[in-house]
Amino acid sequence: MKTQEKNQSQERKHNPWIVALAIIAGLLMLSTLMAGCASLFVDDAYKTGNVALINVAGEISYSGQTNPLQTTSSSAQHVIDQLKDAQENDEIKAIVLKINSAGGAPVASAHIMETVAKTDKPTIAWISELGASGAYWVATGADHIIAHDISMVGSIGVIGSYLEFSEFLEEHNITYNRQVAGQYKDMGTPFKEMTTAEQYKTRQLLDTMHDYFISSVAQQRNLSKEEVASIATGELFLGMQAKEKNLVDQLGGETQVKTYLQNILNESIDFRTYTQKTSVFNLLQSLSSSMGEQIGSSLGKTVLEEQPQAQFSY
Amino acid sequence: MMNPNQEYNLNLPQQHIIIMNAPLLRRAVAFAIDIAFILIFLLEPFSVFFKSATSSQSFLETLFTIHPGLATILLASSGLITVLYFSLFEYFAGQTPGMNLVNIKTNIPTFSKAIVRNIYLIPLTPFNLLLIIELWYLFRTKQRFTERFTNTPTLYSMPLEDN
Repeated sequence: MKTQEKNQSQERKHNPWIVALAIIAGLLMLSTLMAGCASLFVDDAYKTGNVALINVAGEISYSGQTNPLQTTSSSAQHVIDQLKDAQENDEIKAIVLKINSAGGAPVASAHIMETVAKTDKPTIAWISELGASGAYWVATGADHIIAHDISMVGSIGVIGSYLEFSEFLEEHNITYNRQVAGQYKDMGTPFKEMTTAEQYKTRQLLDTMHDYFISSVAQQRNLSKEEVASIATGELFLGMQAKEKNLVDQLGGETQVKTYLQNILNESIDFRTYTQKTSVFNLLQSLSSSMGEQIGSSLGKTVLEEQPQAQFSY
Repeated sequence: MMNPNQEYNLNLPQQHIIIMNAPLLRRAVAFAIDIAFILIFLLEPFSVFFKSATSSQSFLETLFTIHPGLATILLASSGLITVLYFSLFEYFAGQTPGMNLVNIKTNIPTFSKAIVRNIYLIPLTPFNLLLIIELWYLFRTKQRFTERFTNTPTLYSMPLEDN
């Protein structure tokens, strides 16, 4: 023990509140950064849960776009990989496809549907807001489809529309110099008007794809081809209407999905959400493109605001 | 007129204090306060991350239910944050917020000593083995092993009344 005289006029070198706030702010930033980085590198295998929850959102295509800030598309290859992973994982007892998509590429959609249909574990397609066209095709691969009363379901059809600029080119004295070997090689190019023969051939392609789509839905849903053809006008149905037409099996949401699974598996349901992996490079790329878009948009707005407005006088 | 070369005795009131090793109870309370602050505020960003991995948002509940590999990442990250919390506060301010509330402090000359002093807080082998040694030393000598090793004791100052 020792005694020490204390001088009350001793000055403090640092303001302790500023030091404390600076340290806490710095540690909070570090913690946020570490949590964010950890989420990039953690594999789906690390997650817990006995039911795989795989998201099918946005436009369906093979490549997809991995934008973590604004997911607008589903990579078919990613979904298929996740389905295969869930199939092989013994901890996973069932698979739920959570669908919110207007469809997309036909082959990508068909491939996902076939992979879903091949799994020997119980599969449920849970349509949230929208399950149309290719997305509905994906849903038909599941054992059971659940949609909300007012989900948008269906749109069993094929679309091949595109913008044609032939008149625009003509007005601006631009000539499309056609050089092809094979008369239908440039069929569908926007730079020329489609000939009658090309229209006929395109029509045939679309009808064949449509027929394939109808046959697949009829087979997966245990309906007659005529039944499906009668509703395959490309129109969307509300969930309650789709239920009447046997396009979906049950109306409901997450609660109904879990109840259905509990009845099948006889155990409590814990979802394991599968996510699309994003590389650090893709993250940086999307961040920089997002920043570039913001900067360009701000500059554009500034320029437009500064332009003198037209004044009318009498 | 006052002579600048002459010393004047102004009889200002002076306070005598006793400085001793911080009592165990005060240490425990300070440590509990700091750990609570770390779990509630500083590790909060991890709850968002773990929400995608498990159905739990609680840090401690997550720790006991997640995959071992993920648990290692969680423990290493939280350990780093904890060590930095204690080291930065003790080095720059001489005390953490918890220590401030119970009026105990320390004086650390270099940041490396601050790190060494708090290395036992990393919940991974071999650092967590230090915890046993630290507790044993603390109960025997009222100082932790790393405090003696770095010569940075945690002290409690108590004012004495002048008679």
